Amino acid sequence: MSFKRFADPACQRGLTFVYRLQHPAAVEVFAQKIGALAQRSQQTWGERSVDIWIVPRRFECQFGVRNLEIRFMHRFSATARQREADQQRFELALSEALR
Amino acid sequence: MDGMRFPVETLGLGRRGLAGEPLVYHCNFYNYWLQKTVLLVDGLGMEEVIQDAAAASVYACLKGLGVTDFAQAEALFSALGFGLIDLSSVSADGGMVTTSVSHYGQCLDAAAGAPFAKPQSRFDAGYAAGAGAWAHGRPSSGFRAAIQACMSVGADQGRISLVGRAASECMTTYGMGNSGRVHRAPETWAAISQERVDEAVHGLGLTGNEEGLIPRFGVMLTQHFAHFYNRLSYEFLRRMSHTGMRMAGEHLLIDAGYRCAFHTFGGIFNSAEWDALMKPLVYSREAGAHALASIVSTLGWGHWRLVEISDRRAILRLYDDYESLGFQSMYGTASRPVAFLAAGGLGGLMNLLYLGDILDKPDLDSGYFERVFEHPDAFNVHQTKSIAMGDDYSEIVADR
Repeated sequence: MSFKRFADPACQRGLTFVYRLQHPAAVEVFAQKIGALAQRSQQTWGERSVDIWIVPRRFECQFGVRNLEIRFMHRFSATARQREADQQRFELALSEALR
Repeated sequence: MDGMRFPVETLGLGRRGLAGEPLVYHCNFYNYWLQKTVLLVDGLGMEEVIQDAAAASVYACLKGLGVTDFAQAEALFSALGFGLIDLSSVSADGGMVTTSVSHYGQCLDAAAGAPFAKPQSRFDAGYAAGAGAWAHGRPSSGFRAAIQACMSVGADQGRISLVGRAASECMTTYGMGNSGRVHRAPETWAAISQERVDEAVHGLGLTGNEEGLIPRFGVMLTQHFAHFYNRLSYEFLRRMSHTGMRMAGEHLLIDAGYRCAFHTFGGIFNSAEWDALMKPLVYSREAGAHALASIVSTLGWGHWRLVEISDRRAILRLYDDYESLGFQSMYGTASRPVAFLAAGGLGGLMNLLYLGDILDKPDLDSGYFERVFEHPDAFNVHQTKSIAMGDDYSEIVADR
C-alpha cells in the first residue's frame, strides 16, 4: 500500500483522516474510480491548488492540502455503516490512483 | 445549499455585512462558552435574551434581503453554518420546525467535554421564531418558541414549536451601526497586504457545506450575527451589574475569549490552510503573531494591528472592532472598555506563541491547555482604550 492513514488529532469527533502518500496520486484516475456521485471542485490556497470531491451528506476529500497529503472527512449525517463503506471505497479508488 | 446566494460584503476595516447586518466568524467553542457564561447565574433571564437576540437578528437580515419565502430562510441558516432547518410547516398561527443538522444541537458537546443535561439549541429556536415572524408579517417577537427536542440531549433531530403571541415589545438590531473615526488602519507587518490576506482567506469558501456546517481549522465555524453576540454579552453584563457582579462578568467574558483563542487560533496555526497561506512568511513568533492578526482581520472582527510585540509584552490596536461598535450602537458611550472577546483573544494568542510553542504544532488537548493557559507566567491583559468610550481605536496590552 503506498499510503498511510492517520486519524487527525485536531478533529473532535474522529471524523477526519489524513492520508500521506509516497508519490503523487493520478487525480483523473481517482475521479473516474470514485464515480459520478462525487462533486468535484478546486480551491486555491496561496500557491497550492486543492482538488476537492464531495459526496453530499457522506464525505469530502481534499487532495493536495500539503505535499503528498490528502484530507478525508466524514459528514455528520452519515451512519457508522455508511462511513465504513465510504472510507473503503475511497481507499480503493486512491489505491487505483496510486498504481 | 449554495452559500453564494447570500452576498456577504467586506467593508472597510475588516467589517463584514449581509443585508445591513454585521457578521462575524466564531467557532463552536466560543459559541458554547459564551452561552454557558451568560447562563451561569440563575435569575438573569438570559435564556429569553438568547432567543430574542437570535430572532431579532434573523428577522432584520431577512428583511434586509427582501425575501419572505422559507426556502431563503432555510438556505441562510445553512449558508451561515447553523445546520439544516425545515420551516415549511409554520403557518401564521405557528407550527413545528425541525433541524436535521444543528451546530448548536450537535457541535457544542465537543467543547463541553461532557453530555448536556439541558438543550443547547436556543439559538435555533430564536432563529425559527424570527424567520417565521418575518415570513408571516408578524413583529420579530411575534412567535413564542419552545424546544421540544434537541440533539444535544440525545434526540435524533431538533424540534421547535412556534405559537403566535401578541408582542408588546420587540428587540431590534442596530444594523451596521456606528463606525469608528479612523478610515484606514496602519500597516504594521510588511510581509503581505491585508487585501491579499482577505482574498486568500475568503478564497477558502468559508460557508456552510451541504449539511449546513463549516468544519475548518479543526473547529466548527459559524458566520454569525454580531448583534447576537453583542446583545448576549452586554445584556449579561448589564444584568450582572444590578447584582453587584459586573467585574466577575467581565472576567468571564474574557475567559470565553481565551478559550476561543485556544481552539480557533490554535486550530488555524495547526492547519494545512495556515501552512499553505502563511507559513512561508512566518520566520519568528512575532511574525506568527502578525500573520494571525491579519487572518483575524478577515473574520469580521475589525482590523487587528500589533504595534508592539515581544516575549514579555504586546500592544494590540483594534480598528472598528465589532464589540466596541456594537456596544456604542446599542447603549451609547461606554464608561469602561468593552472588547472582552478581543482581550481574551490577545492573551490567548500570546500564550500560544510564547508559552505553548504553537508554531511547532503541538496537539491541542486539555493537558496542553492547562499547561499553557494556567502557567504561572501567563500573559495578563488590560484594555487601555476603547472606541466605545470615544477613542479612535480600541487598545489592549498583554504583558507578564
